[in-house]
Amino acid sequence: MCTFGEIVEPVSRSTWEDWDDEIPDIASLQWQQPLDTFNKIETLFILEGKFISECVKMHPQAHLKLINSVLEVNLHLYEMASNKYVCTIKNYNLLHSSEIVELLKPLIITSDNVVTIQTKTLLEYQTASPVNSPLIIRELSTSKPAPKLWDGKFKRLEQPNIISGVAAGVLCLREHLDLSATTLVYYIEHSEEYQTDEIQQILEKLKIINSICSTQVNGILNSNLYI
Amino acid sequence: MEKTNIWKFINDCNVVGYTLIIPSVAVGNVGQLSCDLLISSLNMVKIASIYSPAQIPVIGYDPYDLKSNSLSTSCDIYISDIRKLLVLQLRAPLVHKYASGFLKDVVSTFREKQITDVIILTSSFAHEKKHILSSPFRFVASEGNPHTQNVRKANLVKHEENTGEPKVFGGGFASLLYKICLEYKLPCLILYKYCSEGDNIPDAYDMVQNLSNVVPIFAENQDLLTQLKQPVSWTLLFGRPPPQDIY
Repeated sequence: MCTFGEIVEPVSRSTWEDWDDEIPDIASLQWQQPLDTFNKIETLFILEGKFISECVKMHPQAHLKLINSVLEVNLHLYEMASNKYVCTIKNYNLLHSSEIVELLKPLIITSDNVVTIQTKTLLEYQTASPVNSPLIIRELSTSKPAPKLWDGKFKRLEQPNIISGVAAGVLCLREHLDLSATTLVYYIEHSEEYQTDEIQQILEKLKIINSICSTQVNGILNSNLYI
Repeated sequence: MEKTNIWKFINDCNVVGYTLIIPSVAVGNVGQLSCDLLISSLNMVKIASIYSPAQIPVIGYDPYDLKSNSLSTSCDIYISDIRKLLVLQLRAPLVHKYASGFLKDVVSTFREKQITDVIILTSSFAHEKKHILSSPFRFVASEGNPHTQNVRKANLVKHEENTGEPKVFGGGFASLLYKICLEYKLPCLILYKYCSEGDNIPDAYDMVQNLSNVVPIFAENQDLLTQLKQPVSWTLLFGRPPPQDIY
């Protein structure tokens, strides 16, 4: 909306920051506590997106120990048994993605294997053929093959589909360091439904959650009655 | 926190005397679309990629070859040996806070590799065009630019500037990169088109046509349009076909 007579100039869809004006630099991010040094990490899991982060949060976390956070970008780092770490992240500004990757760099470099899981809405999935499934899973891997942590093989993410954000940054960094990493992209129809079975199944296989919750929809939690 | 760029060379070839084309992420992504068109039409080969905190991370498989297993990232560099041309393709905007450091690294690295010059392709808001009957293309050329004569022959209109420093509104980092090139004493040319957001593929074709008038990229005895090949990644640029259920 603009006031009568006001000239509203169109903005570009391609720029996040308006380079024509003085731009205040985005604030630097930092861990709540100094990050420990890591000697060896077997696997680092990075779970990106509101619903996958909440899925981890909703399950009992006895086997996950919260060790650090960056609250501005809702990033939480958990330690699992046998040198595995889980990082959840949601609702962050895309401009912060590369800085978040830099924060995670000590873990990304030290890890033998990195797996990132990202959720996107089904509408974002680009294909010329009709989409009949409510869920599409695609995989993207670095040139160096990663050890398999689950049975079967997902289809690769076909062009023109691409991923962006922290998961993309992590994969990109590992690729440039000649290290292995895999990203799974879950295109889901009902992105409000954090209890999507297939997401829980993969998290259970990776031992990030202990059991699969009932997918019974909780009308009150999922409604917009309460904020 | 130390911010470092990581260069990964697939093929560290000799680029002495080459021209480097860089698109600035700007209105309608015209520069990037033009570079896509060049890479695809000239069958350019990827020689390097750069990881930098200055880039918003983007990753996917090869956008020019659907069967390829190689990854393409926010910043990849392509080469055409026959045309002595390098294209640094950007697939995401730069983060302003770190952009200067990243661009300085790019310019200094290629200066060490003894390239001849840099051409920046960009665009400006259509509403910024003051002389509506003139060509929508403008140029800014630094002193000692090897393309000055061709620019004159092509009848390109010079960018009007009163402030001393070229400012392309909506042109992204073009002005900053131009300034850095001058700092590093590397001849630089900005070529930009006034346009609006929308289907900017025709703008990219126009840009490549104007560029080929300045730099001999394509065979002159053949129609330019027949020599241009759209990259496969341009399919579905405006989304999926409509769902069948609605009929």
